[in-house]
Amino acid sequence: WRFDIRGMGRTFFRHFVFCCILSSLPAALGFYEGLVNADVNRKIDLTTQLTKVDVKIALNNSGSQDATSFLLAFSTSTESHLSYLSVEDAVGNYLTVAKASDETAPSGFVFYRVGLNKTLKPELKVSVALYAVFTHRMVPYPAEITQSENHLVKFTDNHYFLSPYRTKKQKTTIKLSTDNDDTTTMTEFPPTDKKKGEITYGPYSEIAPYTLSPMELHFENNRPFLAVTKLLKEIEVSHWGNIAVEEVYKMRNAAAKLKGSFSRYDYQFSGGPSAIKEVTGLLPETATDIYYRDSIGNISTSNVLPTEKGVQIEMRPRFPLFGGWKTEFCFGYNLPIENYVRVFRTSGAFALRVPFSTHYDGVVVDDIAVKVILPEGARDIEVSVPFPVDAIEHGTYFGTLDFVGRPTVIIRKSNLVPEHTVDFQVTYRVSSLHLLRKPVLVSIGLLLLTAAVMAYVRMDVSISKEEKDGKQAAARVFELLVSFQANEKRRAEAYKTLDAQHAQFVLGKRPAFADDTKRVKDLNKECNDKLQDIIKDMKLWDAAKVAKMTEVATATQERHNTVFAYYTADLKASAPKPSKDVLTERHSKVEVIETEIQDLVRDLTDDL
Amino acid sequence: GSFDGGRRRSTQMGFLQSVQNFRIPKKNESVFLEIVILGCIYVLAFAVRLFSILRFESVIHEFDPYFNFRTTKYLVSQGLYKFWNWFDDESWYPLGRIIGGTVYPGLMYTSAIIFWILNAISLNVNIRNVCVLTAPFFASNTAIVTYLFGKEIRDTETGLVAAALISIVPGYISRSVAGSFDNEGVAIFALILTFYLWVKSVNTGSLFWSLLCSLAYLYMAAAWGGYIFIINIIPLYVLVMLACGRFSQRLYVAYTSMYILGTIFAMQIRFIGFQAVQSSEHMAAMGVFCLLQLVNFLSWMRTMLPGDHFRRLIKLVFTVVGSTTAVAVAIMTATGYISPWTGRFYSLLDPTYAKEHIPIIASVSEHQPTTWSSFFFDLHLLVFLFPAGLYFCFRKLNDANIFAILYSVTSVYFAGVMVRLMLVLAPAACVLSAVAVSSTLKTYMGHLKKPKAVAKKPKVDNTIPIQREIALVAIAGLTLLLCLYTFHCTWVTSEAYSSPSVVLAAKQGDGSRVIFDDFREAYYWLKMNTAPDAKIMSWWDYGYQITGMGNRTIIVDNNTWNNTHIATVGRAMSSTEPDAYKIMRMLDVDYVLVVFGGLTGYASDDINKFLWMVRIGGGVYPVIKEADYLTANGEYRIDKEGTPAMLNSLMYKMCYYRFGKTMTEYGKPAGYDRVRQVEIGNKDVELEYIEEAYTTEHWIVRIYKVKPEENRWAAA
Repeated sequence: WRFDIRGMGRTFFRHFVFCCILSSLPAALGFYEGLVNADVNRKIDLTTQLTKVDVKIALNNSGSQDATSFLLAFSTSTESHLSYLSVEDAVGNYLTVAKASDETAPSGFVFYRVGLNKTLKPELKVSVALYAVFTHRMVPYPAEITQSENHLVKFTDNHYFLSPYRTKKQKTTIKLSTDNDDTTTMTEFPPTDKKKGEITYGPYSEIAPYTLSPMELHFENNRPFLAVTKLLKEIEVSHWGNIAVEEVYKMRNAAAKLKGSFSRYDYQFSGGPSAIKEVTGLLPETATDIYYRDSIGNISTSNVLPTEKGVQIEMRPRFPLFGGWKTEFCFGYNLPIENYVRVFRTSGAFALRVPFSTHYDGVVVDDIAVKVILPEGARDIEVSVPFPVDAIEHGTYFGTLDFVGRPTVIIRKSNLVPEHTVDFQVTYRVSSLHLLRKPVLVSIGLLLLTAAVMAYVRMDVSISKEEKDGKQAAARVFELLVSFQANEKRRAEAYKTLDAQHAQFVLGKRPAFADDTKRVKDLNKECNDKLQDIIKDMKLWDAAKVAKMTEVATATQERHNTVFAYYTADLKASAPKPSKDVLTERHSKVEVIETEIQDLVRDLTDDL
Repeated sequence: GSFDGGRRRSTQMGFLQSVQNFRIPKKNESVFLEIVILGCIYVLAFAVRLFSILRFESVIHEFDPYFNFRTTKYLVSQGLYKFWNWFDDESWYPLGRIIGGTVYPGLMYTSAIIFWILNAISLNVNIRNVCVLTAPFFASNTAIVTYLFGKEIRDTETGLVAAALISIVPGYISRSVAGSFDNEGVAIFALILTFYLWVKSVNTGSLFWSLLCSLAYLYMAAAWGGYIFIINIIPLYVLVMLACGRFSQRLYVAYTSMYILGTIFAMQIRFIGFQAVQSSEHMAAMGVFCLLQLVNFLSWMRTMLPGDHFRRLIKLVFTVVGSTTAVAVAIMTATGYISPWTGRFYSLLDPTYAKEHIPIIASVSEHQPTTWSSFFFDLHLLVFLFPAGLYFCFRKLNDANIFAILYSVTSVYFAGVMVRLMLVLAPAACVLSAVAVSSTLKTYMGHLKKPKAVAKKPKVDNTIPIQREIALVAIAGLTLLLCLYTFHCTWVTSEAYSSPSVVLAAKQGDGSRVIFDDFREAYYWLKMNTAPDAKIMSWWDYGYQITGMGNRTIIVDNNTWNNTHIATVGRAMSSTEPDAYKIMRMLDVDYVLVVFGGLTGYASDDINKFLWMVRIGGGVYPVIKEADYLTANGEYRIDKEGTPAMLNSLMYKMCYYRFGKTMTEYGKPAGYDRVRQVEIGNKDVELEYIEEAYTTEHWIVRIYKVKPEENRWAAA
């Protein structure tokens, strides 16, 4: 990020000076009559939708005073279309240009004062070159055409070069976009010539100041008449290393309106001469992550080709734009910061330099707002644009994780042409500590969140005393489960023993079996009571466990009933001793219940 | 100095040692494992739904989501109050629609709140991305809720398996991929949450959980018309519990508080309002509520009265209550206090009902009965695991299991009736399958463990019981099946359910992908190049998209609330040009939009939907007769054999205008329709009352301008 004054570019510096003067208040007219246009060579380029006028003027000081500047005049109606104006001297230095006005000035004209680099002494000559670009001067005529018709436009101007000074000799050459001379009509003003799309008026000589002679041309111009009615260009600078550019376009085909119906069939076969299928442009070669979308999603009809000059973009709107049709879309890309932001070593200030207007070829921009979003904490913001602008506004933008907001600069201007796609500069200072703001903010946020979770986990909001201490509850449940397990184990073992005793009894070796049964019966009752107590206690803690324990109670009762039904039957004096088969059958029946009880108990005591 | 250094070293050593010795306590270990698994599931459920963004773009899908997106944008930009009172004059021209009172606003509120929260913590997101990602986000949440539900029904393991299964089940993914911004996206979350809280409140009998359950029910009622399912299945469950003799105070507390609070909450939704106590769909819940009071009262009386008296009391109560209820219901139905069942509800109970009575419901593909293949497609392995899960539930019957059984059995029925309701079955299938999987795995894993314990005995290798091998095989088999399930789900998601359907993609002969973006091309053309108050007529399918993307007024849309209005449009489409012109002038139509697939082979176009237009139009206007559009053999033809009514209908003319000269396929004559695979019958279509305004690149959408009447006078 080393700053190099040479890197700023000489052109920029010149533009900068130019800009400062242009944006100053209109200067007084202070008309000096001694100047004469010795020779004027005017070239009007009408090959696109833009009217580019290139005039070479040999200026002669035939008066007696020194001249330090001279005046350019435009008719008011023409001047309202003026978009870009520059004047160079013979060696290519830009001259200062400023709007001039005075009560003494003749009405119907607008004047610009051009300051000369060197004072023009009487009887001396200087040659200057004027370059002006106008928009929307070619008017569609007829105003409505059908899909297959060629686009015809009307252009009006003056046969003479309009000047507040006397002109000795002049000539005008007009270049049209068509070679077809048959469809071209023009006002005759001899000497006139028309040849292969090139029209010459003149040479004329000795023309008085302010002489007007209306010229009108009518010719075919099928070049795209694409006008951006509104362009919002957002440049977001992040000192983490990226510049995000997003351009929101509202476009219109300014050609003659489509008359009648649109036919896809005809369009597929012969196209439409006035329709605009695509827009092309050139992005810097470092541009990445290009996107092209509108309010309803991605526009899939686009192409990006890396070339030597940069990234060539070909964008098709969703539909071809016929005359009068509109479209809106949004287009964006990223630029690496190191190529566009320099740091001044001495002062520590930063300078952002990016192109001002659109990258698209040959479009007219009616209205532009360039919004520069600087990093949070930027201050001492200065903007310099190499041409006059309508307004510069300062504001604040809240982006992702912004705390105090990022300072923004909005530059507004209307009526732009491709000549305005030059770099402008925004200088600012920002402490690199501001870079840390976001990570710190996020860390604090996460810390607070974690702390909140910690606090929540440790917090106790329950009202009931018993529930208050979670640990106590868990301990109590544990205790109950332990005694439950012991209780059921004791009971199960008792039945097992009784079964063994029954086997002995069957063999006739256990006469006291009746007493055994009685003991187990009592034990079962005792265990039942114990279980009920446990359940009662458990109700305070865990409803699911209560439900399961109740199931255990039912199952154990069932076991008791089943087993005792057999034993009571066997104990009857008259009863025969059960056979082996009967015993096995009984065992398998009891086994089922036993398994169920075991499962339930295991389920409940799994956690122990 | 040296002393200090020494101390520092010793503390360092201590720290290192404590790090080395650090071990998570056993109890926390399982919690930690649970959290890690759930975290993975959470991310997976979200990530698997992003195929659509990767394949296409971050865009809203299909039809209804465009309406939801539009209303959400309105809510976000205009605020709650204006949304509540929103009268939309852009749809159902000239009737309009009271949006605030005719939507389930849960989805819009949800995404608006997410949007507001994110912006409040200064995370700049745009509302489109919030809407696109709402469904995946809620799918992740659903996985967590399913975990809780499974845990409540059985145990933690079941919960985890259920969460894993539901995170990728295609039946649910179909409605919750990124961009699918529909009510169901959040509603399934709300549904499972309500069920979980319901089971919890039945298990605990706690007022707190019942309150949470009714809040969840409120969210469900706000989000989707499917809340009717909840308000019917819970009473059904209570009935079943009563029949099983499982009435308890827990059940009583849970149901009464949930019903009262839930109904009051649901009435706060404008679209539901008094329906919650008046419509037939809600009557079962009310009836069960009363019944439960009666049962509770009687069970209390039983403790107070001798058996003989009690029996007499029961007889008396049943006669009085039964007859009063019958009379009251009859009177209320007759006076219209209780509204009759809606058609959609009827068609749920009787799948053939819609086909005979309401063509507009039958015409929607998602209301068709489900085929066997789509069960397998949407559930895969779960189709087989589901009955196993039912078996396991029956084996250990308890209150929670009964609910799971009931939910799954009813949802199987509903999924069979309507394809769309596969969505309700999917979670049930996941939970029951999880029961099966976790029970099986638990059993066999237990067998795996045992020999390890005895492995310490020397030389027992040859004495390992065969049980262990069986267990290994079973576990391996189940793992394989689950892997297959995962592959199937991923494949289905990426291939079948991730297409936004507003952008069509097709594979060319050389394998490259070609995109048909005609819908957006047409809608954007409408937005940019027609008057802001232009009225567009199209079949109702495209209504939401036209207002959503084109921002223009339409005659009918997917809300289908006014059958007559739709029938009028159907009639216009089926009439001849002069007749249709009269209707269109009546409706102030400026443009007509049709969808035509004949050039590209896009099959769901208007010509294929045309018979439904005729049917629906004819249902209201008997001038339109279906027979006129079918050949003598009852065939639907568009070639030379087609009937004059067909070949001269407005729809036919608009679709095939200028198509007669177009070559579509090599070796076929001009005007060859690639969808119907025939040469069209009327090749020189002349239009008198309308003119082509725009046709998209692949001819999929064609827009015609209705000529103003003055032109005809001027021409004459």
